[in-house]
Amino acid sequence: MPDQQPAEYDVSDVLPFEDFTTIPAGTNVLIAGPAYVGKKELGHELLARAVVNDEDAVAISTDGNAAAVSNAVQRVAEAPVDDSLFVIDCSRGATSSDNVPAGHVTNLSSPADMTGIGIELAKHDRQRSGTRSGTRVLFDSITTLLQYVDRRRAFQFVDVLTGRFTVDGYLSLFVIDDAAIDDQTVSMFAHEFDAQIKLRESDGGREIALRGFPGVSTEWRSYELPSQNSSP
Amino acid sequence: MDENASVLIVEDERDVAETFRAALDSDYAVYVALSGREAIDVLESKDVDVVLLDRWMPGLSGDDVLEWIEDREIDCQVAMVTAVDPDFDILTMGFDEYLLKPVSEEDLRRTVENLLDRTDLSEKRREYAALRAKQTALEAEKNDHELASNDQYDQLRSRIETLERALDDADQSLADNTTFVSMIEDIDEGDK
Repeated sequence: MPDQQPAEYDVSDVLPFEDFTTIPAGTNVLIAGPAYVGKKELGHELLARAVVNDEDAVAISTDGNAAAVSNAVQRVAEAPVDDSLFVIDCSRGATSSDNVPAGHVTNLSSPADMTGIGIELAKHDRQRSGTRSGTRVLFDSITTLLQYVDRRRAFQFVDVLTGRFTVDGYLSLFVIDDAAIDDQTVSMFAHEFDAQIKLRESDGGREIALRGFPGVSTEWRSYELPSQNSSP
Repeated sequence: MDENASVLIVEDERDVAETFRAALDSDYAVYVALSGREAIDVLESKDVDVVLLDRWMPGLSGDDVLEWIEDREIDCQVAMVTAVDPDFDILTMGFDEYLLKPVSEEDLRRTVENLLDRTDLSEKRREYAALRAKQTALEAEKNDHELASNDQYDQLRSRIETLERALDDADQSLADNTTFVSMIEDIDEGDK
């Protein structure tokens, strides 16, 4: 594990539950739920805390372009995005973002360019300052990756990524729309992750369940994103 | 060390080729080709796991041989072993390692070993993905009792666990950026 990686990542601002304040370094988390339930937003919130906590943040975006990612992180962090954010933009409508320093956004032609994503992650590993106290990675999303790459190769790719993130002591967050793809595929990918954050809408509002975090309740509980709580 | 693995040395300078052979032939089956043409003859007739390929040779160059390997999708790992300093042209070349001469015997042996490890890991990852797909398909269709009483399913789970342990142990090697990117490249190129 490289130096400067923490033993754990603070998530208490985003997931304010008494029994769940940190996630150990090297943990790979799957954020799962149907469309429009706030998976992407939760991913942005957790990623944005890197900017606040003096950690590195890496966004691998297959859905939104670099500007959308950096705007979301800036809004959530309520601070200017500095060179701690590194965006690998694989969306076809790729645009650069004024919010992210030059050299910290890379545009790839499609999520199918898995080698390109790997090269950019390796490049980030070489470029990062080494003075920050950890790295959070958001991969948004496996669902879109599966539209470009067959399931077996997507699975192997995620297997290699999660292996690398564990070795490096990162906190990784992978988003999947579990209503848009078949149960078998969701189950196959879920095996690759140490833990899951599941989201759903119920009559009482949005709910969250935390699975695979030792000592943390797995029950569904009501939940609102902090940025939505604070919005006027 | 995989004694069944084979290495092809492609080098037009006989002395250098023999030095490389001496460094490797106690551990691997070693073939030597003194020209690009000879290299293609060997590749057409033998299964080769690793090719150590000189770039500059009279007649068919190392770059030509590499292109031939890529065109025919020969399943082997290629290390360019050359005195040619790398330039931007290497970005489009499909080799797995680039060694600048002079190369020590230790570097040569380590490179071959690393390339063979990568091949082994890529195969394990492919098998792991295939078995996971089978497992999830069965679990979706069969109830717990049916699964628990089936020997083949039990063997499947056992093999998955073995592979999982092997891959977890090997994940340390992913900390190396070259290995990490090379692993993904293997997946990316898998079915092309």
